Amino acid sequence: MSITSFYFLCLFALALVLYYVIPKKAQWAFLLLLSLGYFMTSDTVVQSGGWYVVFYLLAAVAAVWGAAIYIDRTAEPKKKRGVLVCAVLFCLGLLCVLRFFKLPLLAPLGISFYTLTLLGYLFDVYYEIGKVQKNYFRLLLFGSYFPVMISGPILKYQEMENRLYAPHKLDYRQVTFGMQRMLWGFFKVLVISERAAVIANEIFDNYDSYAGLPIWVGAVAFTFQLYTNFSGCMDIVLGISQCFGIELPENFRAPFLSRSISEYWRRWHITLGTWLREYLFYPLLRTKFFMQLPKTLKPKLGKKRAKQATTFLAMFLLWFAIGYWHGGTWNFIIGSGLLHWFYIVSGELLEPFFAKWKRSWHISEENRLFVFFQRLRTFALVTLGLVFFRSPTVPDAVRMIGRGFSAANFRILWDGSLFSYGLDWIEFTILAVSLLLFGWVSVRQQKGWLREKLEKKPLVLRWAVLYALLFYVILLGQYGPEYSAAEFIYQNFRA
Amino acid sequence: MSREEVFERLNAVFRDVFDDEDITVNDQTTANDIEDWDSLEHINLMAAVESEFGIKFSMGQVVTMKNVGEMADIILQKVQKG
Amino acid sequence: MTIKQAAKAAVFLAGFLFLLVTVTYIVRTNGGVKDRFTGFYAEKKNTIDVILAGSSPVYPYYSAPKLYGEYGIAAYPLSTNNQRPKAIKYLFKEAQKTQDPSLFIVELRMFTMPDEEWEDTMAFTRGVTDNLKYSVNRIRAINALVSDKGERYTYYFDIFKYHSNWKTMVMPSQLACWNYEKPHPLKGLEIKTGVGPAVQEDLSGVTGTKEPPEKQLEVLYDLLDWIRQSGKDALFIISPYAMEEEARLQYNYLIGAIEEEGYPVLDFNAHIETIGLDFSTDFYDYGSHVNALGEGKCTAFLGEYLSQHYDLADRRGQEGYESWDGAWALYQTQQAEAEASCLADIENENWAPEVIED
Repeated sequence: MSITSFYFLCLFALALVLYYVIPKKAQWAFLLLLSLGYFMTSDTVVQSGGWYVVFYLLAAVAAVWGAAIYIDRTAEPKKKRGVLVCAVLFCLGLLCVLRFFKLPLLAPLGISFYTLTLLGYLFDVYYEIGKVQKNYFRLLLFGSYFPVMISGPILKYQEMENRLYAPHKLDYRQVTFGMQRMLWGFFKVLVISERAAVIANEIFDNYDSYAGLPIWVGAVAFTFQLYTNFSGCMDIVLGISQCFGIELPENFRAPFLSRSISEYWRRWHITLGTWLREYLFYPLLRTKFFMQLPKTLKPKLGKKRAKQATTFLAMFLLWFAIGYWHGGTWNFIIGSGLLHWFYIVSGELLEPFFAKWKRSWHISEENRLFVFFQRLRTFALVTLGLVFFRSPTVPDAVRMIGRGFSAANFRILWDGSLFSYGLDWIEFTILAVSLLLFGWVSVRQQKGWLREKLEKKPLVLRWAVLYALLFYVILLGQYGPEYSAAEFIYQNFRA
Repeated sequence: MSREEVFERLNAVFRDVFDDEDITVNDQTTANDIEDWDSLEHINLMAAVESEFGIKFSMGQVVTMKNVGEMADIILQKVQKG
Repeated sequence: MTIKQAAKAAVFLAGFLFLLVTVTYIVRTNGGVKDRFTGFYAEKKNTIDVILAGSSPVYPYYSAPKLYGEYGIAAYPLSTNNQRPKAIKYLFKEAQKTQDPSLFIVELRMFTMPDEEWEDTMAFTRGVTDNLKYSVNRIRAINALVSDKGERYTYYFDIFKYHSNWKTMVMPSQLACWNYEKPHPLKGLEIKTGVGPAVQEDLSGVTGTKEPPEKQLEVLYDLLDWIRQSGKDALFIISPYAMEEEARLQYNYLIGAIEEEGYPVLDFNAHIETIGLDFSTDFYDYGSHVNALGEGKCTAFLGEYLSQHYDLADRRGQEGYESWDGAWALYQTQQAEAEASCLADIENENWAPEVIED
């Protein structure tokens, strides 16, 4: 059962009604039942006949639960550390067993996301940031909460404990807002992403037959496909949760309005970035080696450079980890890892030159044209990385990029070639119009939720907008018996 | 050690870390107030503060510190204990 | 949640469902079958006396306008391509919602073919289910016709399939289907032109029988049960075509079985000479389905048979049948043109392109 499937939506509606009918004290237990049920009926588990994977989940949560309680009670740092390491290894070990030996099919099942969620909790207890949860079943709900199971966001225990276990009264506004957000997510996934995918697939799968601009059309299409797919999925997930009265952390803040790559990574897949920063990057920087390194390098490079070099090294490891997390093969390690490290490091190193250049050309930071240029640059750099990400291997990506520079055929923009990549002119227009609508909303959204503005409009207008969007998605979405939807792209990412 | 003294020494550390002689921190100063104070510099700053006062923050403190006032409180606590 | 909010949500949902139904009716694939069904729903209440069900050997064979114009019989074909016999019961039930027919006519050709073959091609199932208005009967029909439970929702909510037809939203002919009622100018008839000569081998000596697919027999007995309980008259027909011995044997079996249950079977193939049907000129697709020439003859034969054997009211000139007079007039013009076109083709030996059986 996928989160966009018809049956999921039916069960969701049914569950929602039950959720608000049963005693408020039992709500969290009901969510736990739903989560376990969802886990066991999810497509990947059912197809491989392995509902017993639920035992993996139960065991991983048990390990984290026990370790956290032990760490909380013990005063000795050495023992704390030992238990922490054991629990982490246990979780990762289970993951490996599942992945490499018996059931490789099951690996994608969001396992990476809830593993990170659970480990984050354990680290918080270890670092004495968060409280310990003594009730196993409550922790199980935290680790298996069904909306986030497939593709995140990664949860933080301190943020969630007051929401997950608290009684929730039926709040009409929350429920309607949640559903509207789901609708917006469906718009992104079914109308935009699935259409962009047609072009991206055509170009990436046959890049040898294209040269010049078409390559970049395909690359840009993939960037849109990935972004609308992932962020649309997040809208659906956050919307579902909002209907249950449980607010989840945002994963995106219009990342393509970023003016630099480092800003982009603060606005794209935010919860993963936060997780890696807090549980990987900070601890790494505070190891003896990294604390000592600036001092060792200082005589040779000077204070500032020594500090910079240390940071760059740590960042290298961080970006390697991000790339590895996305797939473990070099195209991922480069495409969403090291290439971005390279961007950020070059950006830092070239900063003085940029500053000089800006001064001599009298360009103000807030010049709208300049801001636009910066955003375009960010988009182009990210897109370049995603060519690696989407290509099966690194040599493929390199060859494809090479072909992209092998011709200057701008006429494809007006000679009708655009409509030969799998979408005819009507479908292409729908994609373009939908993207414009999405872009406009994203920009407006920066000044606050449009939904709240809409709320103040007269009922007739409000409903007209909702009905229009509903039927826009119903009619123009790519789904149904004649169509097999792509899975959520991020579902397939592993730990 | 008084709170004022802590802030005086913190000012010096901040100026050193961020290479800016004009920085003056107060209770409410946060990462938003200092241009270069991003997550990377935060770690450097923590290391510098630690060596200045001869203390060690826990990882939790590093991550959750919200403003310089909180930082000063933790420093005072640690210094008096040690 | 306040009562006001609950009411608002209910109204919104009702509005959504209404729009969803309307939009679905509009975007359901346009064509002859849709026109036939919207035409049926558009008929005035309790004006039709005879309902025909069955597959493609119904709508080009029997002309409702002619049955009315020459015999005063008000009949309507609820026929779809490769209509699975399982669907017939539900079509009759559907017909009874707005009409009070006294006679059901069932064409038998599909009973000789195994149902499984047709279930895999969803178009043949959808021809029936996706041309019914939303109702409980429609849900029952889907449950009977679609065995893959996981797929049924795409039938219940056929917008899942037809949303990709959104372009038809701008066609006036489809917008007119918003409530699935749009009069059919020829009362469900499709006049076929073109000539594809065929030869019927003499099967009069074939008197043996062969059991049709078991499941179709079950369907037949179930249908007979239902008809008996409904208290209506029923007539089973075998439309003429160039059949093979294999089919002949099965028809022989079916005739025996149906007559044993007390219902008549009218086998057009046994009356080819009386009908005056000429296999070399009266078919458009080389022996499977008749063209306008064959249609005129088959309709006349059916009309005669019905007049002689049933006590059906003569509806001509009655109040409420004005549209039938119009259909009869239109039919006469179009039929004359179609017959002339067929005759010209025969004259010029301009044979129809081979068609693939649908």
